[in-house]
Amino acid sequence: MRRVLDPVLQIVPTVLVVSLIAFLLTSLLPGDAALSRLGLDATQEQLDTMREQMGLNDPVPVRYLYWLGRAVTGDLGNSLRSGEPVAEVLARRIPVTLELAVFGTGLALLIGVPLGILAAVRRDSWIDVATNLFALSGMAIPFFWLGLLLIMFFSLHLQWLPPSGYVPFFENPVRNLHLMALPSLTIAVAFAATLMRQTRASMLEVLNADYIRTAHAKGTPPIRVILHHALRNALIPIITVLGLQMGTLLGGAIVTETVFGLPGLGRMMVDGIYKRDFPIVQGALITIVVAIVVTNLLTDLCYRFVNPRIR
Amino acid sequence: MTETMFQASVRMPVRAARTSLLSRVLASWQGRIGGGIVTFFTLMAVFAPWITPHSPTEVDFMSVMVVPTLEHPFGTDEVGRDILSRVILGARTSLLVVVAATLISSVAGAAIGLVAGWVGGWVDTLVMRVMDAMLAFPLIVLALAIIAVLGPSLTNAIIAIGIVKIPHFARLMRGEVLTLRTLDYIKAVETMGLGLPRILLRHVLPNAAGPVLVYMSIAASLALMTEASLSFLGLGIQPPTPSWGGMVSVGMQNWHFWWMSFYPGLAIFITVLAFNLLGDAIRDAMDRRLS
Amino acid sequence: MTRPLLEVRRLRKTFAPRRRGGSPVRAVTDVSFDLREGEVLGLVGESGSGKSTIGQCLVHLHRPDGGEILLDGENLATLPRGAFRRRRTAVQMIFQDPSSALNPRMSVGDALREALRLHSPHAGRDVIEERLERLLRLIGLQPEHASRYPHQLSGGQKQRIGIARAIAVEPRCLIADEAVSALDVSIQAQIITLLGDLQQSLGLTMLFISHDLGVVRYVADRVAVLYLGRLVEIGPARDIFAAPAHPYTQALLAAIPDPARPLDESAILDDPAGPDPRAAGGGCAFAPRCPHVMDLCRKDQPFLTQVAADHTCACVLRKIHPDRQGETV
Repeated sequence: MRRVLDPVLQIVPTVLVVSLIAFLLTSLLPGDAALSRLGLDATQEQLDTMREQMGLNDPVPVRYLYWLGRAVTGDLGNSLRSGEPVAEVLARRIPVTLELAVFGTGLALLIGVPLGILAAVRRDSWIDVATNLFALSGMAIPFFWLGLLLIMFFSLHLQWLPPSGYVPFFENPVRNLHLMALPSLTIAVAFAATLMRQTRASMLEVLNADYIRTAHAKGTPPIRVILHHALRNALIPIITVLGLQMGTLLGGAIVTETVFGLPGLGRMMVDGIYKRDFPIVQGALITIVVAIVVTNLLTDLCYRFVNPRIR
Repeated sequence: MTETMFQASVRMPVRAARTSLLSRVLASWQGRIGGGIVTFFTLMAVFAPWITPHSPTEVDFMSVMVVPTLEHPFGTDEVGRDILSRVILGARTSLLVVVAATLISSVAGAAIGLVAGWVGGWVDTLVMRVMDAMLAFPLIVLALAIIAVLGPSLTNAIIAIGIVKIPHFARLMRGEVLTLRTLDYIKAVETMGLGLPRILLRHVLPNAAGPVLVYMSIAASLALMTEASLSFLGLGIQPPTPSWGGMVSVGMQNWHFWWMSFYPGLAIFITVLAFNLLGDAIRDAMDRRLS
Repeated sequence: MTRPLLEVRRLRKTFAPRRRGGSPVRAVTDVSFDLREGEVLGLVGESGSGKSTIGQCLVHLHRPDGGEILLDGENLATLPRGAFRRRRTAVQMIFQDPSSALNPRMSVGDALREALRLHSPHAGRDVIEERLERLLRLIGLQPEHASRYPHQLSGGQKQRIGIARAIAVEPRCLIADEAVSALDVSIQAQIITLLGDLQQSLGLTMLFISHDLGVVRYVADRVAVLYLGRLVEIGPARDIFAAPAHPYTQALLAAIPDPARPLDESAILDDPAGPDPRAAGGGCAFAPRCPHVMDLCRKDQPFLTQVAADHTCACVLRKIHPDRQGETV
């Protein structure tokens, strides 16, 4: 039980500090929340009343505690522009980014792990060199440029896929998958590159172990040795990388959403900054970071269960 | 006479270890290619105003969005400016951001890590908690949040990118300091009652600097990428100052004219790749020297 | 009798457990001894006996949890920061591992100049250079060694530099913490001779910490034996080696290889795990390994009792003077 409880309790201070950073940053945003709610023709008196009502005159620590208290009950305030509750905006935006992240991770696993195994098994062959070049390029290519290249090739040149737009999955699954294909591939490439390197490294380590030699010596078919014995043990570092890369993935999602016009969390944050809509920025920021912290926690728990040595 | 000779012999420094690191970096293909491109990029950035074939800012409505030709090898943009010239000048902006931001993060991060690691106790716990919380933010997200507060500009991009990398340097430095503290030569100067600033500056810092310097080349590549992403989102370097990310963004709005976004993006890709290769080469060279 | 240079009174140091939920490690428990002006006191014990912890407490690298360390009757730990820093140089340490005892990025000359300047901040440059040269000759090196870096020196040379740095601030007392155990046996002898010479010519007081009784025999005037953080025996070196009182000291002496004596089959210190600090319950810490153990030993902690002139031992077997029980040296 401690195994589960300890890491869970450990993220509490992290989440608190994260929320404090997010709160401080966004409460420092230039612009007057009362002014943007009432409009420019508001009188000084009206503004003062509004400030008082919104609690803007309280000292920052008090405001933080109020804000935190409301935030844990799901009340993240309202958009300064549309007046819509931030939680509702989030409810609409989160599925888009989640879908992008899930597809991206899935594609990255499908590309990265097999290539990594191949590179490790055929070490120093042309396959190893080629996959290494792929990994180096994948880690250096900017998401936005890769997205554009994919649009130019698949949408403009071949005309196979639409360049941008979004339709929810449950409205039109086929159209949704068409639209999500290129964005998912865009964020998958860098991730696949990292996964490939890690898979290769941990496979190389495992393949040299005695029990693998024993399996070979027993006459186990090579493919079974690789998939059954080696990959299973190489999986732990791969899981770790998977968790650690969640930040890079979501960071990439922000830029990718802009390229493909996807109404996700990243676009929400960027638009919020353009419009100086600080509850929106705050909501998106908190959601992204909490998602990352929780993913790291899940990775940690996974790791604890998969790796018997840590018990 | 004998006095000066004596001193000359006493003061002769030994640089064998350092030159061999450089030669080891250049011995690998990663080091040669990465180092070569980074040098080329730096020279291009420094001499940009003198080597651009056209004026990077001069508007020419007679040749708007021209396909790459011999006259304009990378084509022209929506107001007829030569893209090659703008890519060359963009290197200058990128170099400025990368150097300044990396300096901010390495100096501030190293100082924070040094103090946290040396002082220990609750100071260490508190500082590292904040650093860990900052690490939970993706680089671009934290940079965006800082830009949101400061407003988009070249200076603020430098500050934002500088701040987001501070925790990485702080953790690295703290680890080094914790290791050094257990070494006898640090204990020895403590026992002698040497002043704290001198202990830190003369004994701890020089011996902890190696990994920090190595990490700078990786941080540089991330800084370049973050700057490009910010500028692409319109929240980094503001027009008319040419920046690679901003140029890709303009190109995206005119995506039938592929050259407008292709060449600036290629410049980002190649430069980031070069920094990564150089970083790998330096890390390998350091590892081999340690083993 | 004149006041001892350094008085250690009921020194106590406990380290926090490595892991949460683990038990704290009692490194040093109620250790008291004197370091008399001009003597060499050997401090011996196995690894984990707390001997290095005591040394580090004496140079204020560790803060004791209890007890006092008095220099000339004065407790440095209670002095204000500035005064403490000035007095601190009175006790200096020579470290065990010469390879980590010198800053790899500083030339030998610079490391020593730093120490010399610390001792006389107002001395001119030529004075410092002259002292540097004298210092190098004193420890058996040449002036040209000043420009060398640690990686260009042998282990013995590095240890000489470590000694030079310690004496550069003109301390009154040197703590040599396993100062020769990381060196080749042939080099050990040279360094021990050097330490002996320096101690004579400079009138130094020295605490010689070592696990190796064979080495201590050559240098020490008196010997103190530690077991699991407690002092079990202290006395003149000649007495200790001729007539060890504590069973543990006897076992340590029996473990010194001696060609004139056949190997002792019943050696009790061959336990590869060494002593376990957590195994000690209420009684004598040595009881689990002691060949003469009695029921009494497991119950009560034995006191230090005088067994001969200037020689005390903490063992129930030696309680020959019940009326003087509990007396410390």
